[in-house]
Amino acid sequence: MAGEALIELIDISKSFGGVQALKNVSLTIRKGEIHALAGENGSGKSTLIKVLCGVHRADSGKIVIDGVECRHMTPGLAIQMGIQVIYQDFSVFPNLTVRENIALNSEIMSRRKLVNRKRMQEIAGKAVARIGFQVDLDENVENLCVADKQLVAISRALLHNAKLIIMDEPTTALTKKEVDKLFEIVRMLQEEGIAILFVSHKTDEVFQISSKYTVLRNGEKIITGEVKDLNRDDFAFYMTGRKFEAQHLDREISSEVVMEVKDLGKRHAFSDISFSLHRGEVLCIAGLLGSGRTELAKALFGLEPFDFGEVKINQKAVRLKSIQDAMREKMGYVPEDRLTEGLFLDQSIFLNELVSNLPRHTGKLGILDKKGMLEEGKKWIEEMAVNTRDMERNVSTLSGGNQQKVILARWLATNLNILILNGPTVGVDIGAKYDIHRLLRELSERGMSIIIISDDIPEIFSCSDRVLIMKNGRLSGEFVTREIDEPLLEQAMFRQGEAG
Amino acid sequence: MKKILKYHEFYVFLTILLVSVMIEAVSGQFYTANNLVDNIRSFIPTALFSIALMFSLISGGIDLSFPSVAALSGYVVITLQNSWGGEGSLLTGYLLVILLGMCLGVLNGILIGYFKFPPMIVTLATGNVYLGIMQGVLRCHEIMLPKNLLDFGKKSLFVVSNQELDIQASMPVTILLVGAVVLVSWFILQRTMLGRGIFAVGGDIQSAARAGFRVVGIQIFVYGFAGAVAGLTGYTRYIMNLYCVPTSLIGIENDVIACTVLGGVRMTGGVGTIKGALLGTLLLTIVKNSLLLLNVPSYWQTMVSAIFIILGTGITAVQMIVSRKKNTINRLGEQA
Amino acid sequence: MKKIKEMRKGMGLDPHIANLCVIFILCFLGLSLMKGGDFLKASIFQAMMYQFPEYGLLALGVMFAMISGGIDLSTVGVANLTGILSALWMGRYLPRDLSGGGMALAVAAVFVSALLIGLLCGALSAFLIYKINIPAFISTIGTLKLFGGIGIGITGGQAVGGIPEAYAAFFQYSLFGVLPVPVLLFAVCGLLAWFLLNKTSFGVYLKLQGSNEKAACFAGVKKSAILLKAYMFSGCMSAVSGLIMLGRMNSAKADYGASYTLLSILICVLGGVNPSGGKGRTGGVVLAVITLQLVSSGMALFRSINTFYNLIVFGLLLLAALLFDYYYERKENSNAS
Repeated sequence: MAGEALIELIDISKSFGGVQALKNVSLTIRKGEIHALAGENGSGKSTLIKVLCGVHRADSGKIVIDGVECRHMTPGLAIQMGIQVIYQDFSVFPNLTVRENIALNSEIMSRRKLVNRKRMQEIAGKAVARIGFQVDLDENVENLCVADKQLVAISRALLHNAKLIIMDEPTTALTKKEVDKLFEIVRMLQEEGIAILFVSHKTDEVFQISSKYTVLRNGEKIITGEVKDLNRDDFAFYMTGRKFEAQHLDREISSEVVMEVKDLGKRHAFSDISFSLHRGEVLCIAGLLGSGRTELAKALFGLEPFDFGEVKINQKAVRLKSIQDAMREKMGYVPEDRLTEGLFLDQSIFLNELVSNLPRHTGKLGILDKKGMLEEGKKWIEEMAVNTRDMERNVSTLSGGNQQKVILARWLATNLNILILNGPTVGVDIGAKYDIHRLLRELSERGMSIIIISDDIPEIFSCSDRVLIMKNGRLSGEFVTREIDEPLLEQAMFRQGEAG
Repeated sequence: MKKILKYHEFYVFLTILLVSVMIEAVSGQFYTANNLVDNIRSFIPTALFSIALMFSLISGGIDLSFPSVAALSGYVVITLQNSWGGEGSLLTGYLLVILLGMCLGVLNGILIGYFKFPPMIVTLATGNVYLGIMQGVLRCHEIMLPKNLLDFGKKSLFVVSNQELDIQASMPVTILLVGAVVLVSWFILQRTMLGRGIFAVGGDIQSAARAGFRVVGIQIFVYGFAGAVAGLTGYTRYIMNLYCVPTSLIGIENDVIACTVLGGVRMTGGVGTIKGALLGTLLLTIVKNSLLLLNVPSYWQTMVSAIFIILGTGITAVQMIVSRKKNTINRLGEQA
Repeated sequence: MKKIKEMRKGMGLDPHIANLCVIFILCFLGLSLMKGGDFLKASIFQAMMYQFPEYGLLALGVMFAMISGGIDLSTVGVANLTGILSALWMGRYLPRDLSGGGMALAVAAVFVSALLIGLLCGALSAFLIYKINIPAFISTIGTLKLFGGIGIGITGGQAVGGIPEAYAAFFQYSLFGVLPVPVLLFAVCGLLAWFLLNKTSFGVYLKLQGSNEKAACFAGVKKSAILLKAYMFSGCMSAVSGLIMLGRMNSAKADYGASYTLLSILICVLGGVNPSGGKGRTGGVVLAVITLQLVSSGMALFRSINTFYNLIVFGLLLLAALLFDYYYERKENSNAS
């Protein structure tokens, strides 16, 4: 598996303006190695990738590829040297065919002026055959599912004698089956001597597929090591510099039923869902992507209403046909993509904090009590320690971490009965993850009932009291977290009743 | 075979058939040679404009200045040709008007491609500047065409006559021009990397840059080309009308947008075919001309084209939502 | 230079507004110097005050549509249709020499009916946008043509007249001899717009809808309600504008004010409204209206410049506004990092 050094980044430093993004970072990737590059937001991993690909020029340091020192790295040179990047959005053209998506790059590189359909057909055909990808070359990419789009991107990447393929957060939108297929292909490429660099947030991938790992923190390399010698706690420590105690929630839950769900169903999504939610409880709906868990959460919030069954809140049957209905029942929803789908970048900080609380500050005729709003906004900024001098500035002026705090403040500020969080810590650093978990526990202790959607097992244990397992649109298990342990939960989630 | 059902253009074609049959049933005059030729005559300038517009739409932007570019370029060249002695060489005229239109369009391209200003606002602004130049600085007025151009305008490919009504209609030579422009445009869009680049930019501009397409150059080309075609069309229209009325082109952008969108060209970019644009134009042209045939007062035309715009875009929008829902269901089904 | 910037920021002025002020002052001074007595005449200002409310009201409506993330191109169509319908029923049911109390009642009734027309038209545009999902640009082109078509259909393309003389007189009346009724109407509408945008929750929701539609949805903003209100407001503004146009020209026609569509968009962009939504200040729009009126009236004073030059100047101003934003952003970004 480990061969000679393919890529050596030696003492790379890079700063932007006055900010040091990378400080003497060295990284070695060997031929045929699957290497994970991990680090929190702002650790410098994307900058390092961009330096390697020639998008940014390093201030100092050397890049050596296959024994050749590359003095002035450019994107064109990087491709020539065999480096290919697959970005998180796959950089595909939804409105063009698979054939064109795959072949256009190389046609451009060969400086072609005219379109030669036959040649492109050949190129594309060979590319997909190489990874055993069965697809209709004439199909428009926008009609493909996410996993297939990714395979298109990979096929394309392989066209230029790639020696190293860098994958940026490759498994975020994939179901388990699709992830397995991806890893199969990755292993196949590895056998051909191609190295893969995974840039990932998901700890599990690091452990599942990579042989080596490197952790960056604050622009510096903390450690490079063998995955087989690594455990989760150490990994968390390297990433954040803090020690975390694996928490297991262990407390009594009130018996007061806040929400009761009976025989809930939605065509093509889920059916026969029944459960109750107690006051102050954190309930996790767990299941893999495609199990119907997201659809269930959206149905409860009125986002995509259910077709059958009923929901009772405080013993009264309620209508949940729209978001307004749900909000009237004092329910809230936090989408997975907190920042893009939650923040209003060109609006002020205090507005972003209070957006769910506006009705409280609205008087007769819809008039807003701005003074009251400003006061409350100030309170939350102080309580969350958001780093800003002026809360009337645009929220876009804040750093990513502070932006997360603004969103958290928004949740805290609301006076909800029930809060639904879809993937509460997806894409979030380990440090912030810990903060969010702590916050959820606090909120529940104050009496809020919380439903989280998650398939992150440590997270489930860390902040939920009970967990419901969903599979193929149905409930396949229910556990009280303090009565079980990780292996049992893992088996229930990943293996129970799986056909293949 | 089933694939045809997926294509927007197919439905437009069906609608054209339907409408024409209905009109024939009511008036008995639709499928007459002279009516068909008349329709084609009205079709020519709008079709050319819709091809010009199509380029900017596919690239993900929009060009609202094309009527002004057409009017101004045509006017300037005809005035020049008149001042050169009224003989007016056709070829020189066309070359000049294409050049002028292209320059005006390239200005749009630079503002949009290099400075990255919103296309709608830029072209709105330049369109008005060009109009202002024509009406204000040049103080345009109606002018006669030089003799050669007049002759060209009167030339016909063939003449058809309607015995019943005792009228004749001549198929203008300029239909060949449409053929030429269609051919060139088709070639660029489908057979050159430049053309594929236009689709790429319209599909995902960031990916296009990453793939190595020269995005700024492509956008400058798009608007420059649109300007050139617009110039050509303005000139042709004056010639076909045998008279230059510079203000006659003001306000046509709405109709052309309607035609193009009806033909399946997406406002959001990245999608569109020439046959679609042509079919859309044909449909709207037939509808408008048939209103005359049916003795509907011509001022109802605006309303009818409004209804067609709304129907056309509405159906496309609904189609997109339906197909997106189907995709999600399919995906969930796979995992089950 | 830096001090000026600090001062500007201190005054809480949007850079757009600050620049408009500069342009306004420059134009004023320039015109005073160049045309002296010809310019600084009461009659010139009087004439200006009769003109700008017509398109100024349209701009207020477009502003709401733009902030919501869309645009409204149908304003002129609504205005004309309102004028036509109002002229028709006034002409048919009211005697030409109606005056006094009867006239006052009639005017009130006309206003009410006009607002209703505006509400309905706006609602149709909004419906196409939020229910059928047709992009605002196309929807409002469609409704523009629809209303225009209805107008032409009703009038046969001719102008409609025959309204009571007192109606036109009402719009020509000047408060204190200085402020014509159209300006008063514009002021009231401007204040209303400002109030809705800045003092009510509707204003906040409108900005959120335009800023990030998805996030607004999760935050509980009801897209249908917000868009409906925004376009209905625009419709009402257009309707009032239609009434004013009717008063000025003593007749209504389906194709009056064709150039106002572009003008209203120009005003909004110049006034600092973000074409992609989420941001816009009433003050900026009002200032842009006045500034453009000043420019246009000023240019009319120059005998050698005909009115078509307006198009050139407005177009160039729009491009200048974009260029200014571009370089301003560049400077801000390099300062920030």
